[in-house]
Amino acid sequence: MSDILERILMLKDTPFFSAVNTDDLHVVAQEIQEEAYLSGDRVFDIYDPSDRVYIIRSGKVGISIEEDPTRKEFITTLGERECFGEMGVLDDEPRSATVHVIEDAVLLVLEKTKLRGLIATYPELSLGIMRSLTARLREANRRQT
Amino acid sequence: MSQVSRFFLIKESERRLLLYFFTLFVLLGVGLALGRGSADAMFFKRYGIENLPVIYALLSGVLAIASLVYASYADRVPSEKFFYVLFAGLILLVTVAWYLVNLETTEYVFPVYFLIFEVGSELLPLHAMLYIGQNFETLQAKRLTPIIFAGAQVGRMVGGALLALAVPVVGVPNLLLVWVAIAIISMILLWSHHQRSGVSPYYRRVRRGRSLVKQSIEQVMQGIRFSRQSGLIRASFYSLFFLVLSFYILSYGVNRIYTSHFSSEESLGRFFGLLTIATGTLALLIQLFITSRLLDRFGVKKVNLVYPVTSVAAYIGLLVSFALPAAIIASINKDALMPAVRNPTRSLFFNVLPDYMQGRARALSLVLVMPAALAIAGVMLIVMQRVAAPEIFLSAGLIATIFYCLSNIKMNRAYVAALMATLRERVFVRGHASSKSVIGAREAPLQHELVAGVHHPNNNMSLEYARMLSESYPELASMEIIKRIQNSENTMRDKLARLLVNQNLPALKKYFATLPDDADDHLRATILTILFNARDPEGRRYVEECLSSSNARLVATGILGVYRYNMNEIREDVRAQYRAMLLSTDTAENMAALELLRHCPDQIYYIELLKLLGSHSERVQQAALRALALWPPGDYPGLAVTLQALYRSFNHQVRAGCVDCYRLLNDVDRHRLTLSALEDSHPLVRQAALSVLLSAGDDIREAAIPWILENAGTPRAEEMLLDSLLQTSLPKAIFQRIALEKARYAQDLYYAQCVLKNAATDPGAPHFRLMRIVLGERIVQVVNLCLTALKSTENAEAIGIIQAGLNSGDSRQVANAREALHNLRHIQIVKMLDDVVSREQMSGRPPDSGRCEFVSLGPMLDWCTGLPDPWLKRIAGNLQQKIGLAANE
Repeated sequence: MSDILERILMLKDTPFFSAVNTDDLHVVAQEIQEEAYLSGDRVFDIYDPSDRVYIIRSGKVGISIEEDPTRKEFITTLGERECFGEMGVLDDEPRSATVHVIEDAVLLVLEKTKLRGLIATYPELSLGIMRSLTARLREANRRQT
Repeated sequence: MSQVSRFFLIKESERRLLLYFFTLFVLLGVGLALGRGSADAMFFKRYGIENLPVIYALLSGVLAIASLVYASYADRVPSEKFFYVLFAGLILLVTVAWYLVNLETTEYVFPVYFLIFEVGSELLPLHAMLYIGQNFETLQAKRLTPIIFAGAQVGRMVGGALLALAVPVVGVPNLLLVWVAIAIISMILLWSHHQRSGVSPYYRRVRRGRSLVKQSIEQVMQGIRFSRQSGLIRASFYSLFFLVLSFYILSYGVNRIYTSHFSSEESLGRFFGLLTIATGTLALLIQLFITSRLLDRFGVKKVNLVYPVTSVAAYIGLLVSFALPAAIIASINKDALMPAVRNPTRSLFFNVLPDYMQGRARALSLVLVMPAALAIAGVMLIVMQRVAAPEIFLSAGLIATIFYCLSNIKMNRAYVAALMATLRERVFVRGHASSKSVIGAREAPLQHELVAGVHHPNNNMSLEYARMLSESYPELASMEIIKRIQNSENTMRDKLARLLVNQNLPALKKYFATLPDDADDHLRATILTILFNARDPEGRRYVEECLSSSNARLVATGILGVYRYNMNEIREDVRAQYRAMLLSTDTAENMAALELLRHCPDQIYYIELLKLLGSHSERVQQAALRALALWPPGDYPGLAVTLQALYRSFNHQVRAGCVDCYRLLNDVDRHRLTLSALEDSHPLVRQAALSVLLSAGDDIREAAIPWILENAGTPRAEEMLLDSLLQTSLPKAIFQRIALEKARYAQDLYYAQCVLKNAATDPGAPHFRLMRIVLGERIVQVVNLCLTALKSTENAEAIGIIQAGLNSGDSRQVANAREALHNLRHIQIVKMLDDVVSREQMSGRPPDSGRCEFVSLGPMLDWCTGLPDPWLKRIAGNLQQKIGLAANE
């Protein structure tokens, strides 16, 4: 149980799930798997199919948009409690970047099919996700203006 | 420091920004005090107070032109950039004025300098208000504006002191250079702040227009249009008009007394300095210790009437005694109460307008309203000062003040409407337009559009349009749908034909006759079902043909025909055939028979139906549930157990189907299972439960009320039930009780959150954090519930807007929603809610009143674990366990 609660908190801290209520997040937390990656690993490559969303439990990853997935020129780095790969699981587009593990990382992984199944069963989940995405969009707009 | 912050209602995160604004306003205040004193003293003594009315008339024109330019740019660039322009212009003009005064070649420099000061003293504070508006949200502004304006008062006091001390030493003219120096410092401060923090956060870029003249005219026209749209802008214009009349007549009166009382420019200058210190100090004290609390205690509308009332009193004082003491009192009114009470309040009124209106409304008041009022004041005084008795112009001023008072009452009424309109616009709450109302418009273009939609090549689009058309124009729909059927493939034909039930039978029969022999069996079955259900005589001849078909759906249609045409001679055979289909292992036969069961709810097949509910196919389960749901209430042994088992399905449609069948159960089972289904994870299932509950009659509905009152369900389920109960004829008192109960519950939850916050030794620990988050979520949900209950007695649309505002996550909209909340009628509930909402954002102090008995973490967690809310109970239980373990260790 303790692990589930920590996962709920972790999900709540990510921008993708921040607006989802904790009781809805509880079901998401139950479907999440944990995976360990070593420094130097690639979580996925650019143009790979978008099949999972990731949340960093510990460690650090770098995001590269280079055509060559082996090149490590990062446009940004992400750390603990940050989320990546979330757009692809919603719009089905292939990965738009390669993710390199910079420091040994433990990632929480949610399969696209599971996420969609959860959304079908718990529609309020999608409302929360929409709220989160809208908040990000508003923030981006605000920064732009 | 924290105590000071708490006293002045300042959040920690705001301190730095507030300090900056305070300093900037101090500088503005110093500058304006020096400008005021020097302009007045030089003008009255060197040019003559008798020329003041003429200057008023002139000022109106100058102000109009200056304001027109201001209106063109006010909200087109971030307010800080416009400040640079204002400061630069001021520095240049005052320096030139100083030079000309020292040259002593022309006396016209005095009225010109007076005009420069008057324009500057109007534009700078006006722009400062816009600047505040672009940097703070409404409630933040409500709390902090008085403190910021207090900065201006401090500045005025410092300026007054400088005036009093410096005049004997450097003379009045050299004060102009001091003002220039202060303007330069202000510019540097502004620049350095925005270098660090970037553009004002609530500035929204406005589309650039064409030429300056066109832009200016457009701005003015827009302002006029806005004044037609917004009652608040209109009322504020009336208010400003009469205020200007009242203010300038009062100023003229008191300055006449001062000029005749003090013989020299220096003594007058010194007196102005001392008066500025006195009025500034008073204004500061009022602003710091009274205004915020007045606004908080009485609300913006009542405070809006303070200055008009004191102005009436000041006029009466001058009418009674036209001498120095009454003049000083009048000066205190216009120079202390006006900046301390009236200006912050007016700023709050403008803050509720949308951003794009604010700048133009403010500018228009400067371009048209103020100059017009000023010109009238000037002309009135020119005429009236020919009569020596001051009572004449004072009476005119008093009448203007009374009108000012009435305009402010009007402004108060418009305030709430403007607040709601702005909030609605900002949170995008649209009025509910049902498809019926749209379709019901019965306009030819709409019909054409719907018909075109029916013929849309995309099947889904076509079906949707066909559905809408058949709901609104059935006759037209049948013709168009048949046309579309002819151009569709089989599945689509079947779906479209289903929409034709009970519509235009002759057309349908004609179409059926044209069907080729190899036409799709489903389509044939659909059309025959329509004919049989209508007991159409021509349909009877198809019955036996259907019964001998190899297609299960056609066979089922044939059986329907036997029932509809009462063909008793073959009824027994048909029943056997029907039963065989229900018991068949072929899903297609099951489905066809179940579809038939919907048309002929014959209860002799109950056992077969019960078996089909246990089918492995979810399609069959759903079809069986759909058929069962249409049966009349009665005694169905074993149904409750079967439905309960089936309700465990992962498929929400199966669960919703089960709930639809709950109405066949006895009262006890129905009530128990339906209430439990209200907690389902899927809204469709909850909706189904709600329908069962609402159709069950008053007893069950009334039984649901205690369920809500006792907080027995999750807020989500309660919200849904409450929403539906609001559509019923239950007494309003019940909803008021619910609202009150929810407000109390929200307070309890908030109190629990405070206890948690104060007790947590490690607030960042996961269990504490999660508990805090869950309590926060519940507070929001329960506040929403309370507001929903208030919809029964308040304006439901207004409540919806407030809810949307509170849930928007945008601090500005939350602030506006809270402001709107105060205008609801249920004062006690509103106070309780506002306590919770505001304090959740502020400091975490417990509410003043409450019924909670817990004072520490242990009892609070006991209380939470005793609640029926399963999630809150679980999280509280976990925290309890964690604390227990830690204590044992």
